[in-house]
Amino acid sequence: MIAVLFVLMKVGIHINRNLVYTLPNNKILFIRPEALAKMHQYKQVKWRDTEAGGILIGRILIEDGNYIIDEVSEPMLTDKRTRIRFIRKPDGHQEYFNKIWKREKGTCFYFGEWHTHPQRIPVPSRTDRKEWNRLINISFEADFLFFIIIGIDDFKVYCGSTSGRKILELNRRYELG
Amino acid sequence: MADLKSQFNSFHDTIKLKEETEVLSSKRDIIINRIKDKLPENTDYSFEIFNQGSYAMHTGIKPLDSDYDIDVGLYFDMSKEDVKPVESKNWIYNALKDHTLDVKIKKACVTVTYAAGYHVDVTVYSANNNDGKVYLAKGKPTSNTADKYWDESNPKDLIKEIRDRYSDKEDRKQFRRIVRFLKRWKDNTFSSVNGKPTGISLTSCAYHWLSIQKETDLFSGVTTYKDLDALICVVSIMISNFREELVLIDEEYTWVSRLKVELPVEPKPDLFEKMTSKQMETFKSKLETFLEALEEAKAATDPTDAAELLEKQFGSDFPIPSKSSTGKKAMAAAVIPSSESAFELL
Ligand SMILES: [Zn+2]
Repeated sequence: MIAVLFVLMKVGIHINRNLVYTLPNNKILFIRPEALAKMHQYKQVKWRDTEAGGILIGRILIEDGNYIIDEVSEPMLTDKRTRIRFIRKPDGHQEYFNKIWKREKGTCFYFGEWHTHPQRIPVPSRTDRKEWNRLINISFEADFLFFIIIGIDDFKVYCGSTSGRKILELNRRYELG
Repeated sequence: MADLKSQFNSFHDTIKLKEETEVLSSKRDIIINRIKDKLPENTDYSFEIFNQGSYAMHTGIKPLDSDYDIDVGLYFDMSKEDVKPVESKNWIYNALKDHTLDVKIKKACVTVTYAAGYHVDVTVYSANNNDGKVYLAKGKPTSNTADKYWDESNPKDLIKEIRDRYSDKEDRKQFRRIVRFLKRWKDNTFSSVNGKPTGISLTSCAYHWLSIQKETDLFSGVTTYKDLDALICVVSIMISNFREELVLIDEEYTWVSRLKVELPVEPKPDLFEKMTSKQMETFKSKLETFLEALEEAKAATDPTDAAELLEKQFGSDFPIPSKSSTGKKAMAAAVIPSSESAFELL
């Protein structure tokens, strides 16, 4: 618990300002530090650590149309996890989404997927890209879906527009000095 | 990039001193009637009564401690050569002294305090002088001779100058909002009266240094006022206007950073003059913290984060939106797909 809190604080101080990405339509994507801390707990640091993943849930702001990832689901018992593969079933993740949907009075969207790689700097695999292309062609409400891969030293964020165009890697933008 | 437009609007609605409440205007009427009634027993000079203070300037805010301030000015048709300042204040004191338990002659006015959180400040002016100027009666009966004097003051010009700042109606509204925000920041941030900048000094800072912040959409022609940007503008100019001065402290010359701001009307005194070096230092550091919070709020993507930063500066009247109130509503709950991912060494 203390370790988690420490991660949260650390993330809060340093990443608040960094975790902003510009989207192809000039809107901004912000990943809340709590959500990022949750994904970072599953980093595959040790040899025996298996891949993990879940769904991304967030808001589209009324004020300016920017995107915020607020919540991420964590691996469920029904998911298949090995060192180099993660197969996620809808079970559990759908219930998790519904719970947030109810709490937030319908102001949340399915925003995509996250998973881990046993790699220092993660690179998407062919399977990953194939899956992402499949997902952006299912008509979800948000104009974009996001895909996050958590590596050991760094993580990468990709974005695909649901009107079916190609997947782009997003670059971090540094807001304040 | 949060702009918190709706939060600033509702904050302004909450702190703004609106139509004078009935209680306030009835208290004022009671005092005015009492003065009209009793003053002729004390003096033969005729006088004119007018409302002054921030309410008259349209920059009034609700006090945090719910101690409402009612300002009444009296223009006497007399010259400063004919009457001593404290003598004229005694007329008022005598006319009001049996009215409530608490009537005091203060440095610049005669104050009547009600138990129920209201006080009325009555200010006496000499308004018929050869030089055409108006003077305020200063001093208490117990003051040193040097502190009993007629002080040049132009309350009516000041009210007009502040009230009519900016010819464009919407620009003027932004100016008034910014003044109210600065005043509430001051009330929330300074716990003791000592070293707390006055309302009129902050009003004057906005008067001199604000540049109106608005944006007009090229297509729709709609103009949006950017209050957060306007605050950042005026607070950064305040900070950059601090100047290093060599001051004698404990028999040693020390560099001290001081801010000066002129009252917008003659004799244009420096309204921060009375602050000590230590108080100036505190003032500057509070302004710096304020600016940092404003800039961080602007940089924040999530309006909830931005509002939390500002709530620390403005106090609990600044609303923090719930997450769900900031997000668009989805048409339907998403049907979560299955998904597969892998790591392959190519
Ligand atoms: Zn992968």
